Order: sequence, then C-alpha cells, then structure tokens
Amino acid sequence: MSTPHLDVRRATLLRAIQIETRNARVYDSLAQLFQGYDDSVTAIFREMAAEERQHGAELEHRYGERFGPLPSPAEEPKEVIEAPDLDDPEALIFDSMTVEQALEVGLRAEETAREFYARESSRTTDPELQKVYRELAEFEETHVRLLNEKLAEKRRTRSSTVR
Amino acid sequence: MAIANPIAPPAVSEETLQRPWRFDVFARWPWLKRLVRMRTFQFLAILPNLLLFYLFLIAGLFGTPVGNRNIIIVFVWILWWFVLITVMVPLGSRVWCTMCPLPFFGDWVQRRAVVLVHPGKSPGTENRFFGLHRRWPKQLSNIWLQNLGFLFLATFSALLVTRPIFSAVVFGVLFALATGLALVYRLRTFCNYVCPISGFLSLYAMTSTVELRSVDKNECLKCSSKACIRGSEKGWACPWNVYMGKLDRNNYCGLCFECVKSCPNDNISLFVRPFSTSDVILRGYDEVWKACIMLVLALTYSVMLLGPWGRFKDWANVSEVRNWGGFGLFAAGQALLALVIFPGLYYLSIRLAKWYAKADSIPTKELFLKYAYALVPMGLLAWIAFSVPLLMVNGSYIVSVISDPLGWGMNLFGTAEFPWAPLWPEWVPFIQVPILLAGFYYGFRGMHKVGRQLFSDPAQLYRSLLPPAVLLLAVTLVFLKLFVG
Repeated sequence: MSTPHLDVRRATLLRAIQIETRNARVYDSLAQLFQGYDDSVTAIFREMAAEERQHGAELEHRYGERFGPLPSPAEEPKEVIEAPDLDDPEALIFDSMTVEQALEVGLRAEETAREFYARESSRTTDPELQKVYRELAEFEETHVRLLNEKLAEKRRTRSSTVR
Repeated sequence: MAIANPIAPPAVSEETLQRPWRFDVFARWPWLKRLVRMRTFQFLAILPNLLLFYLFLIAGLFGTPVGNRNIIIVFVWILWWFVLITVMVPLGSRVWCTMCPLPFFGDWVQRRAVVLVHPGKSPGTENRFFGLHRRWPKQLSNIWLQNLGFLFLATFSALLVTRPIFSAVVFGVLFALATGLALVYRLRTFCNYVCPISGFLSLYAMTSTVELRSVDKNECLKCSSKACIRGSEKGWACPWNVYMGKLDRNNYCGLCFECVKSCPNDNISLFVRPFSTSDVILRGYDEVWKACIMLVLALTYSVMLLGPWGRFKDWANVSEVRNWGGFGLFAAGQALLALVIFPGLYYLSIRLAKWYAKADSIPTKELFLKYAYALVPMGLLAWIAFSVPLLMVNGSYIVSVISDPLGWGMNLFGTAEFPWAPLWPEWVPFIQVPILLAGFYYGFRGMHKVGRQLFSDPAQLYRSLLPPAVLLLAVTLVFLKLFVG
C-alpha cells in the first residue's frame, strides 16, 4: 500500500515528465509558427523541442527505476512551472524574432523551473521528496547551462560576423 | 486516496496586479460571445459595408462630380469619418476593421472560403491557405509605408474630399492592393503594413475603452497548440499575426474574433476598460512618427478647412485653383512639419527632459519612445475636435444625399431638397474646448504613468515631464487658438 508521501513523490516526478512533454509540443508549435520567416529560429525551436523530449525520456527512465511502469497519461498538469512562451506578441508582425531571443525563451523557462524546484526542495520536510526536488533542480540546472552555452556561442558568432 | 497538491499555484504577477480595472463583456453577456463565435459573424458584419462601398464606387465613377451632392463624399468623408474617429475608435478600438470591406476579396481568394475554415498546413499555420503565402519583406515589416501613404493621401485631401472620382479611384486602388497582396503574401499583409487607414487606427486604438485579451495568461502559457495565432479546425490563424497569450496593447488586433473561435481553452474575451489608460507604450520610431504625423495633420487640416486663411485652402485645393507653386509649398511644408519639424521639437523636449531630470542612466531613445504616448490621446482628441464642426456644419448634406445618392435628380425618400442647415454652429467651440483639454489631460496622464515606471524620485519624474508637457500644452494652445480664436 502506498503512503501519502510516496504518492506525492510519484506525482511530482510524473508532473515533471508531463511538463517536459507539454513543452516539447509548445516548441513544436513555435517552430511551426516561424516557418517561412527565419529558418534559423524555426530550427532552434525544433532543437529545443527535441531536447525537451529527451529530458522527458530521461525523467521517465528515473520514474521507472523508482516507481515502476509509467501510468497512462492523466490530465494535463495545471501548474505552469516551466513554460516557454513568446515574449513579444507582435514578433511575427515586425518579423523581429532572432535566434538569441528564441534561446532566451527556453532559458527563461528552464531558469523558472530550476528556481521553482530549488524553492520547493527547501520548503518540504519530507527528505525523500526533498531529494526528488533537488534532483529536478539539478536536472534543470544542466539545461540552463546548456542553453547559456548555446546563447553565448550564438552571440559570439554574431559579433564575429559583425566585425 | 487523494493527495495534496505539493505545488502552490503561481503567484499573481506584478503585471496582473498593476492592470487597471477591466470588465469581462463575454462573461457578463455570453450571447455576445456566441455571436462572435458564429462562423458567419464577420461576413455578416462586412456584407452591408461591401454593398455600400459598391454603391460608393458607382457613385464616384458615374455620379455627379459635385462633392456635396455625391454619396461617396458625403457618406465617407463626413459621416463615416466622424463616426470612425469620434465613436468607433475611442469606444470600439479597431471595430471598423471587423467590418471593413477592403480586405474581403483578399481574404476570399486566400482562404477560398467566405465563412468556413480549412484545416490543413500552410507555413506557420494549422489552416490551408491559397496563393503564394510569402513572407512580407523584413525591411518593410513596420508601419512606415502606412505613415507615408497617409501623409501622401492627406496632401491630396482637398481633392479627395471634393472630387468623387478621385475618392472612387483611391478606394478602387486600395481594394485592388488588398486583393493583390493577399494573393502573394501571407495573411493580412495589406492591413498590417500598407493600408493608410489601418495605420492611424492602430495608433489611436491604444486609447480605446475595449480590448480583446486572454482571460488568464497562465492558461496561454500552458497551451501547447497556440491556436489563437496558428489557427485550428474552428478558426483561421490570426490574420493580423498577433499572439493573444502576451497581447498587451490594441494596436495590431483587428478584432476579427477568429481567436475567440479557435482558442481551445475558451480563454479569450472582450473587456471594457477606462479610456486611455492601459496601452501606453509606443514600441518603435515608426509608431512615434505616426503620432507626430497625425497630430500635425489635425493641425494643418484645421488651418486649411476651419481657419480664416483662404490662401492655405487655395494652395491645397490645386484641382480648382491650379496654383501648382502654392500646392508645392503646401505639400512640402506639411511634410516638413510632420516628418522633421514636429518630431524634432519633440526630440528636443526629450533631450531637455533628460538634462533637466539628470536622467543620464536612461537612454534618450527609451525616453523618446516612452513619452511619445502623450501625443496619442492628444492627437485623437484633436481629430475629434476637428471633426465635430465637419458634421455639425455639413451634416445636413447626409439628409439630402440619401434621397439622391448619385446626384442624378432622384428623390427616393423625399429629402433630396433638404436645405444646407448647419446644426448649432455657435456651440461648436464650446464642444471643442473641453475635448482639447481632455486631450492634454490624457496625454499628460499617460506620460506620467510611463514616467512613474522610469523614475522613482518624484522630483526627478516631474522634471522629466516638464519639457514634453510644455510642448503638449503649446500644441493644445495652438489648437485652441485655431478653433476658438
């Protein structure tokens, strides 16, 4: 019989998986939205969609190790936690989206998630749940680092092109 | 066993807390939502105007050349203009765009449907569009074309408002352009970048008392389909290319209500809000110049049509007076004033504001863009003040022309001989003065609202506001002088 704490841990990890899956779909939508505008923006959103799928798969693996087979998909998570979104609602009108801005969309989402999990980890009193949150925060930290590297690379490329 | 949600709901954002009062119209009157959700809604809104425009074109081409006897002049430049600027824009945002017939044929050829939606895949959307569906050049993805187009048409306004054939040709060209561009470029390229009317509607819609927005922005964050902008089997992709999830100003929302139909979360609603309070940020030089152009044109029109200086009127009225030199002077002077002198004065006021407030940390560009909102309510209300006498003095032409729309001697409703009778002309200044003062008030208030976000020190804030406020006051006084002498 499962304990309430176990259920919460399971639900937390499950929600993290669902959020990664949802974000992959959001990036797919954004990639399609910019089709025919800037191909590099479309490509970067596609790349981020693939990464989110990969993150989801990694979390699924961890879930399987801990709690057994993944349950059939429940309803969409109600929380925002990590939600990539366009900053500028008029970006398509002014054709102003750049690759850097696209990466910043992803970066902000990952940072929000990292901060959220870190905050929750310090709030909870259940050591096991704390461990799950900490793991998730570290997981997001890796993605933040990855996106920061990409962003730095893009900025470097752009400034060298400008010169 | 039910488990407690370990994750607290997200805190209310600062933006939500700062949002002024708004009233959800669709929540209060759900039948209105059902109405705009009907697939036939926009077609039914456009159809009467399409028929009227057809009549106007016929009247322009084949009716009397006498302007005040021809329906295209009287209905478009007196009635429509008055209703548009004094009622539709301040109270209904871009509701004219909901019913505008100009893009009708363009939409039709692009969608190959008048009412139905075609699900499918065209780049960027979940709908099937026809035509070349190309990307509009990036360099032209702004409202400069609209700015120059409106200024160009305004230069020929004397022709436009007196010669039916000229008005018919201009509207014919706009129809053709809207249709042609829809065949080549995606969505409402004509409306977004070319239509000269759309340009000033976008600017003045910022002041409007209505807005179409998402109800809960968190819902949009969670939405993976982004159907409001990409379309779905229920609605077309946003023809204006606006993303409702983060929309925070009215400028480019044409109120077609497709997003209300396509939103899978039922999260879009129409809101009523206070006048000139919410959208106070201009985001580019093109928008600032639009504000300058519109304000200057309100001024030159007032000089030309309402002022006591017959010479200016003669210069503008080149088709009758044939003074090409005078027309050249008028056109060059107007363009210079709108594109260089007034924006220059505004720039100067911003430089002074920066110096006087010792605001070295704020870039001049930022202050220039942010304080420019002051010109928006000022411009709109100046246009309203200018338009009041147009209707009150010339409104009786509407009564006569309705019985004889082409000036052919018909008398359909027995009012063809209705005499020209100005309506309480002695009251005009008493109406204009409070309107102009309201323009100054709302302009200053908007600037103050933006300024509060830039300066935490009240003394610094008021110092920064002083130079542009003096310019605003000077503009108000010039209008007052023109209107009430």
